[in-house]
Amino acid sequence: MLKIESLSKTFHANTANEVRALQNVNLILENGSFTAIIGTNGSGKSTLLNAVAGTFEPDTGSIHLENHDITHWPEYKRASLIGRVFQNPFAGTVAEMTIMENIVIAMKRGQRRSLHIAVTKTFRGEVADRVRTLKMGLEDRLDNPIGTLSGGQRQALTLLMAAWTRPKILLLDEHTAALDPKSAAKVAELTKIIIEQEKLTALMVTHSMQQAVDLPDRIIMMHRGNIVEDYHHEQKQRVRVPDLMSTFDRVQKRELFDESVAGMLEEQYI
Amino acid sequence: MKIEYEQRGKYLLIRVMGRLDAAWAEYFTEELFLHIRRGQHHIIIDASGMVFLSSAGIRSLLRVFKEINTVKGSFLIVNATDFVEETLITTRFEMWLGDEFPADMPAFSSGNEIENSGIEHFIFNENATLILNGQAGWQPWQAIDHSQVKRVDFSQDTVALGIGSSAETLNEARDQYGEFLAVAGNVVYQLPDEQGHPDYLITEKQYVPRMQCIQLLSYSGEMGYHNRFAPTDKTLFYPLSAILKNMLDHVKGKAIGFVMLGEIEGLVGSFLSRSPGLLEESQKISFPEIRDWLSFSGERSYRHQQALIVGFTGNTEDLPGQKKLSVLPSCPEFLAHIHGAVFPYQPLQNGKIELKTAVQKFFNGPPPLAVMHLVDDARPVVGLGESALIRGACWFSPLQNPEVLS
Repeated sequence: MLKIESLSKTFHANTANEVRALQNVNLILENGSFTAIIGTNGSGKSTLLNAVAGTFEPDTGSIHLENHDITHWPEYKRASLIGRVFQNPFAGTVAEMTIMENIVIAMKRGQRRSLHIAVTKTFRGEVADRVRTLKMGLEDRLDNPIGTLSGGQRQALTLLMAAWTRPKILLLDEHTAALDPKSAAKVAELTKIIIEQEKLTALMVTHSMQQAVDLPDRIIMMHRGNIVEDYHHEQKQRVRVPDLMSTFDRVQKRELFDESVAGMLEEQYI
Repeated sequence: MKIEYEQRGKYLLIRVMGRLDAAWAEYFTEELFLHIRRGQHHIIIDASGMVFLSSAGIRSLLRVFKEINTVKGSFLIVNATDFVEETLITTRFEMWLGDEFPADMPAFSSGNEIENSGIEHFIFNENATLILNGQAGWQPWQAIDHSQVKRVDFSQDTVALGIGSSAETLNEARDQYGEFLAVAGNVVYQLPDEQGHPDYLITEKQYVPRMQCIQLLSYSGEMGYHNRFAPTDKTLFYPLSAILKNMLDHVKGKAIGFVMLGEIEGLVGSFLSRSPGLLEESQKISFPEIRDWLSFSGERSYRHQQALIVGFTGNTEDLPGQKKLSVLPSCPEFLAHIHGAVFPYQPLQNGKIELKTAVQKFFNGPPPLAVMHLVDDARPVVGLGESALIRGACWFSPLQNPEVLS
């Protein structure tokens, strides 16, 4: 379970460029839940994801993952508990190394490493079986450099690697945004399958309303560093893309509702 | 494909040259729908230059034909090439084919008569009046007193606006009070939930829509007057105050009840985002808390959709002390209380049309998009102005007992 309490982060505090990226955010993700974060640019969704990943330390608040208070853990220490897939399909893997070598490194994430043969015949067979589930024919190319793969293939493999060790939480940061539409759809489909099969707890940032409706079982909407909507349970089941669009619209219109509007309505809303 | 248009009296002659196939069908449909929207309801297609007609093309013609039918217009294909004629006969659409142009179609272009029609005025019965009845007077932000909630059946002859709920019991209604309007046995109401989806009720056999109303202005009676308005070269759209002024001029300034249907240029309004039934006690709610209770359109919204508008208006000096109408800032000699419902666009028939038939069409079509209390946003510099319609119709009559508004 991920528990975020009263989390706040302000960048460039007390300057003209001050950005209050997270404002007293509270969020609990149950084990096995798959949550999407949506929001406009600058709403704080990636900042929230990065706060969990440990990219920076929050100003106030706490983050608990399982039984660990990871609020002040450095990023590398959290790696044993957290799997990540980035927007850039070329991030998170080493282009010059083979698919097999990249997978071996991913499996050792957050663990002590020693000198012994990493790729045994049995292990190679296991890897081939897992990679075959992607249905991309990559099981026959395990010794090819990962840099020779397309963005979609590479992102699918990155997803598989991130989920391999069954992390306590899987963080997906707009992981289909840089792919062509066909590859994005394929990776989105794999995301749902892998998370369900492995019963992972996942937090996904996305700009795609359709993905937010189709993939996860919960949607949270952020605006100006706050969680402004939380579609969960029955609410999530009935929510559709136009509903999310109208909520965005409503949130933005609320910003236009200033004191002068209030004064005008006091006269005319009778 | 090349399309040429020529106005011939009430007919729009459309010369179609090239192939009407999948590549052009959508473009062709959109072009013709645009002309229907502009009031061109009698369409003659000269198909002498149409060299090919595919199934997609026939589907496009069928969509235009159906749209024309909804406004009781006419649709004819003349001078068809052998291929087009054979295709239409084979597919059983030979009823569209004509041997010659209609007898009443002028031989030469006559300019754009439809676009220049401006405001037309019809009188059904100049002695007709409306009787105000069934009032409920909730004012922001009073706690709801159950004894003041009125349970109202909206029959065919009642027109109303207010704040209410379709719930059966007062307890269920508590968190559901939102803006509504009722016309011709139909009610459309805004649910004050976060998503703000409107819902609607339609009279069907024995069933009559019923609402629990905390605020209600309703009238029954005969609509004696009818206006049609359409853009002209000088007037591209009509602000509500201009339409109100025109209506009031016809009844010598008496307070009126009215219904409008029209294509929207922009609506400016507000609606409840939280039910007043949840108020624990009467209080003054100011900024910023007011934002939790009311939503504001924030822009001139729903352009090119269709509005069904219900309201009351009168001259300020004739309605002293009334509490249910507010002054229109851009036209301070008028008081008004106006609710508008938004429906997906459907064309209206030209000329004199009957209120109930016209309204029913919208309730039988795609679901409504919004209901709001219309306001006149005359804030300096940042004001959105007042709501406006591009073309449409209104029905109105003087109120027999306007003193009830006080």
